[in-house]
Amino acid sequence: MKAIRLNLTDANYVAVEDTTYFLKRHTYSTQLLPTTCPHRGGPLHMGETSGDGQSVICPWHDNAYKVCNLEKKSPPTVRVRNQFSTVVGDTQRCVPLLKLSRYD
Amino acid sequence: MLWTTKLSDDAPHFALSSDAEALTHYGDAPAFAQPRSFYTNSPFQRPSRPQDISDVIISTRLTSDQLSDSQHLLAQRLLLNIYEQDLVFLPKPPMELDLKAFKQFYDPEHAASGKKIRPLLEQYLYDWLKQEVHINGSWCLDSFVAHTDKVLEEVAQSESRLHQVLTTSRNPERAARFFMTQCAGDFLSEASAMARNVLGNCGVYTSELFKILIDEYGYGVDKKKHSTIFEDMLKDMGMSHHVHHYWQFYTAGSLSLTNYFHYVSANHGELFRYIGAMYYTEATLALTTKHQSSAIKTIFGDSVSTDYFDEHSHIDVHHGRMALQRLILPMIKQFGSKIIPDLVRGFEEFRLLQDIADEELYAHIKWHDELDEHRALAAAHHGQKPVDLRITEAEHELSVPHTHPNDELFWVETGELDFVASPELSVRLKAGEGVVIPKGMLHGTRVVSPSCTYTVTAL
Repeated sequence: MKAIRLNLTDANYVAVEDTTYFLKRHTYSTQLLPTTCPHRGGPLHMGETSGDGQSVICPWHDNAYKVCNLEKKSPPTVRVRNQFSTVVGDTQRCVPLLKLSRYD
Repeated sequence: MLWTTKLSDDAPHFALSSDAEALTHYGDAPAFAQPRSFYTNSPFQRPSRPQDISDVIISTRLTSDQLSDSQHLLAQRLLLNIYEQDLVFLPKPPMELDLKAFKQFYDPEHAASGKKIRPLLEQYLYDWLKQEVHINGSWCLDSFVAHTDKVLEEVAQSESRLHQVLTTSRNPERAARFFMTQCAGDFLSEASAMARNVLGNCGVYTSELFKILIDEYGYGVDKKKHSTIFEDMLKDMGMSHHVHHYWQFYTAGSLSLTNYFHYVSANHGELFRYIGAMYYTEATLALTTKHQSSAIKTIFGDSVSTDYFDEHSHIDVHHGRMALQRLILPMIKQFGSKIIPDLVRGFEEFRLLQDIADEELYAHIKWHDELDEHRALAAAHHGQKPVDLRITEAEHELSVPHTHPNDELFWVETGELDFVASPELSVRLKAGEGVVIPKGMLHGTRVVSPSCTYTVTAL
């Protein structure tokens, strides 16, 4: 595996090969969560956060997914101040994205 | 019963009156009282400006932009005392044992007050790390190794800023001695925090931790003990080797490094954070001590033994390897990936604290080098703003070194005093002279005339 540092100053998304993740920034966490709903592929990054802040609700079918469960399918991340890094497979390409072309 | 004042909007916590009482009781100890000198002659004297103690340090949480505040330094000083009441110190010849001071330092009721406020001080001092260091996502053994290898590789390939700062200082010997002063608070009781983790029964891990500890302690041979080798180096440099002789000159950043290791070691639930931090420090010391040794050789030639740094650049290669191969990897295999976020957190938190302490050291060396320019700057600023405070002190009155959260104009109106920036640097300021003190820079004063009036003005 390889660790890479990403400049996320303006980015909202990260692509690891064909899989895209959206950045969810909180006071105590910076998470990369999958943009695709595991149910029917809805745009999870466009979903609202539940009242308790623990889940993301897919805008297509209103399914709620706990962030802690979504995170289990996400790459490991470290953010120290404004430096952000992740770890991907040796041959995988990982790039920050300003927006997702699918929803341009 | 609740303390009556809500002390911070962003911290919905009230200090219990019993906590405030414990803080007051703890701060009243003779060990912290006003000294006669900037240097202590006993391990049981730790002047800490108790007059500055406020409930802020037990009822709020420091933010990362408040690290220059005097309360940060004060809280670090108190917390190190609380931790060090668990350790045994005795004076070395020619200093005599003051039995009364010894007993007072270890007084059980006083220690109990310290234990009561310890979690609150830890929260005040280290809670901000949670906002600055985020560990998320799904970790496995391989991703842990990939991440930490990358960080360590970057450290190995980077040029030594410390070497550059020390050797290019206007006064390299003074800069090197100030660096050693910052090391002394930790190195003279080296690995004491580590010792907190070798009791109990963690199976094979207890033995692995013990092996690292006995290296640090010289296998029971005093002259091989790392703290003894460090003492010899201090003597070569014409410095005092007595524990906490330079207590008043430790920066908050230096104290935060020592205290962090006690913090994650004294709270055994943070064992994996400790292991991660220990891995970072052992693996990087193997690299950075080479540069430290080289800087000392460049500055002092053969007159100073660099055995301390040379020993670490050798043995810490082993310690870094042992931490990874004998502790971290087997622990992840045995306990699962759930321990990895704590391991990475400790690794990253200590890295950040080390970077902050390094920057603080470099800023102090720059301030020492540019003290004359700051005196000239004071003359330019004098009279431009109304003064914030006017103080009159009697002869021999000493202000224990402290810091301010903003640049400050210090100006003597009548009398004379010695303005002390480091053990190696003081200037006598007479009436009509002053200095601009940059924020976060340690400084103290001692009046040398029958009385002295000076003003301070925030810039």
